[in-house]
Amino acid sequence: MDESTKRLVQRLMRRIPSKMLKITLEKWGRLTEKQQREIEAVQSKRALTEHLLSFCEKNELGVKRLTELEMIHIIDNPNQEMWYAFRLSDPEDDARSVDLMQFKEQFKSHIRELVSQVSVKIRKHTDEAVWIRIAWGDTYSCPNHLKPTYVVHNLQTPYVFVTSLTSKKKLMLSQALVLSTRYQSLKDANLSGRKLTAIRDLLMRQYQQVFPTKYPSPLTERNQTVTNPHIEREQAKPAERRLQLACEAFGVGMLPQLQSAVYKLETKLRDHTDRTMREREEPFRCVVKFASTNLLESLKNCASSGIASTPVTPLLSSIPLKGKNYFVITENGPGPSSQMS
Amino acid sequence: MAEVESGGAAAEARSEAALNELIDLCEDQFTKLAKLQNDIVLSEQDSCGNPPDHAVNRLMATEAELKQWLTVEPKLLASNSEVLLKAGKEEMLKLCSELEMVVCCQEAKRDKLRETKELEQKWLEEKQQALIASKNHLERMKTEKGEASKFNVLLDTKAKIQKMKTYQESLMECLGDVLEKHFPLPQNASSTNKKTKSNAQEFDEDMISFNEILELLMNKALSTPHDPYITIENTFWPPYIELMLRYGIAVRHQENNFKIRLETFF
Amino acid sequence: MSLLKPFSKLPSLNTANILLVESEEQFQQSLADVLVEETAFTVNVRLAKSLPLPKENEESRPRIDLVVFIINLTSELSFQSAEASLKYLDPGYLLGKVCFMVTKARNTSVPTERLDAVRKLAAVLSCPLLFAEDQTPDGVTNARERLLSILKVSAGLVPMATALYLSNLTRCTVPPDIDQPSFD
Repeated sequence: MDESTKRLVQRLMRRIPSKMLKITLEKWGRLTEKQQREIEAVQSKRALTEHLLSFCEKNELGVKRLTELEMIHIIDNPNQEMWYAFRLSDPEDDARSVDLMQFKEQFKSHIRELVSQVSVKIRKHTDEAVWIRIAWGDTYSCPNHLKPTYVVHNLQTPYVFVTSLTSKKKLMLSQALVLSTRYQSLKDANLSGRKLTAIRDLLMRQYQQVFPTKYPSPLTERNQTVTNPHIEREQAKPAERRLQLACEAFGVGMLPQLQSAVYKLETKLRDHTDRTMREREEPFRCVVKFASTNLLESLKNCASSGIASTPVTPLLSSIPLKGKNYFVITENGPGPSSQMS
Repeated sequence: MAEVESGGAAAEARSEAALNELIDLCEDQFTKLAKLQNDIVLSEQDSCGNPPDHAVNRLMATEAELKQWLTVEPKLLASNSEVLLKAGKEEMLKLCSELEMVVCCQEAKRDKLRETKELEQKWLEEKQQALIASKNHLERMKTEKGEASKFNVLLDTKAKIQKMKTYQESLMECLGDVLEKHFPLPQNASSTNKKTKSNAQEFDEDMISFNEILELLMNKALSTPHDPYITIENTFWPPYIELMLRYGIAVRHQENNFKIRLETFF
Repeated sequence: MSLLKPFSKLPSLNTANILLVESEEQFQQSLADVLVEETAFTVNVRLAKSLPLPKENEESRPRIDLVVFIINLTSELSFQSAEASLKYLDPGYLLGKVCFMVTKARNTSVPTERLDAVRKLAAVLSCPLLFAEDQTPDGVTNARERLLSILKVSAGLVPMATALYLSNLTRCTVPPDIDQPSFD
């Protein structure tokens, strides 16, 4: 067993929490029952690593098998990475008919053409998503298994979710993806977050939405709890209206968990008291970042409690509407929707 | 039995009368209230000019209220004795319970104050003891100070000088010992290995010791501070001169190579 | 501008009506729930985020005997909202039928200037200023007791006592050194 394999094992053991190790190893299924039981009896991380190393040696499990283990862990726990969303655009006529086998073959061959030293592993997960693990190398070095890139793509949808990637590798990945999915280009969707399911739900609109209606919606009925007849809310109607508008903008129930929203402002400062700023030719650049454990929920609460004005400004409602959390706001358009690109 | 019944009926009739009277009273009050309400609504409509300052407003209202309290005549609540009895009883009971609460409150407060007082007294006692102790100390200090005189100062200084002298002596002795032990006379050193150095060097018989060289230097530096240099003579063993120059004990004259002086340590 | 007036309606028997104004609508609900538990007389509670109150409720709204402004000291917005709401109140209310209730005063992030501003506001309007702990059930009960005793007087349920008389005794006064910089 060489040094890099050892390091891969150590890294894997560091990443997988002890309590999940048993299930992950069972799913992996490369250890004998006796070995599995032995592993279960061990407590400390260091001893576990030692055991796993010796078993790998005994069972002749190489890098290939270990990457399988890593993939199982990442598929089960996708929320430990930062995920970036991309969108495929301009499908060719046969884009709809790409099936898994075809995609697998095409993708592997295309990426091998672009990068000589690369290790690709593709797995289909139960929820229709194709998981791709790519370990990159360059002309003179072997694939680096310690820093792999994960790509998640649902066939027949234009969305691709990718973990950390340099711009050079992004170029190669996009080329391989575009060719094998029969699309023409891959664009940054300006959406990122730690929860893969959340950003996927947001892009695919898989959360409970509310649409504007003139008639009293079931929402208001749901919120009317039985109250004491001696207590009366004077402004119940505006409050209901605010809640309705907030729900229309952000949805109801469990909202997709986003961690941040970033607005890059490149606009002129419209402050009438400050002459020097007003007369400047160049735009005033700044970055506004909202951060929260559940950003959409926080924004919705702001709107429904009246802290943020309703109807919700397009700047905020664009997050779920456009499925983005990175915006560049420039001066050139008259309407707020065209200002945002 | 009949008597009791008639008594009950009479009581009922009286209660009926009392009730009627109360209802009448209430109705009276209510019509009064309605009238006042009307007055307020009417007066509110015409007082739409700029409202006076808040504080002035408040003062006026308070004064009006005071005037009213002063002019109001105490009058009977109702003429029916039963109503009065009942109302009085109720009031008394309420007053009783309130007074009981006040008593409770006051007792609690009193106990608390008593506790505080005890604590404070203890504290005071401690402070007084401390005061007495410090006063005694002051007294003692004062008497001691009176006894101290000039004679004492003289003795003190003498003792200090004596102490310094003995210290200096011990230092000198120490220096002497070190020099004697580690810097012996050159004759002794050369005599032991005469064989190797016999023809290399000729020593003057009257070579002086390192100790003496140092003494010469020191004396010169102290007696004529404007010219601390001494001329190197044959009686000085050259290695010792070299040693003094190297370790910064002595310095050569800038123009005359044959003159050295003690390094200015002070 | 529709002013809320203290004597626009006839009072009803054995009833006291209280209006809780709080821009955050947090504490008012729990306070209302305990206020209506009073059994000696009927307590009607109206909750509002700010003044003016909507016109369409004017018919159903009883005569308000006491207006309470709840101010969360950790939020500047809360104070500003209360200040703005005061404009929609008839001056007649200021003769003893308004009080301020401050919450979260213990919080370390509260700037002392804001507390001073609230005290000044209460002092200028000669209203009582109450402090309440909104996090514990005990705190809510205490706040209820204090409000009820003021409410009883301002609703005329206590013989020989008037709201003006009580408020002259309980109004907030500003210590004379509030404007001086502190040296500690």
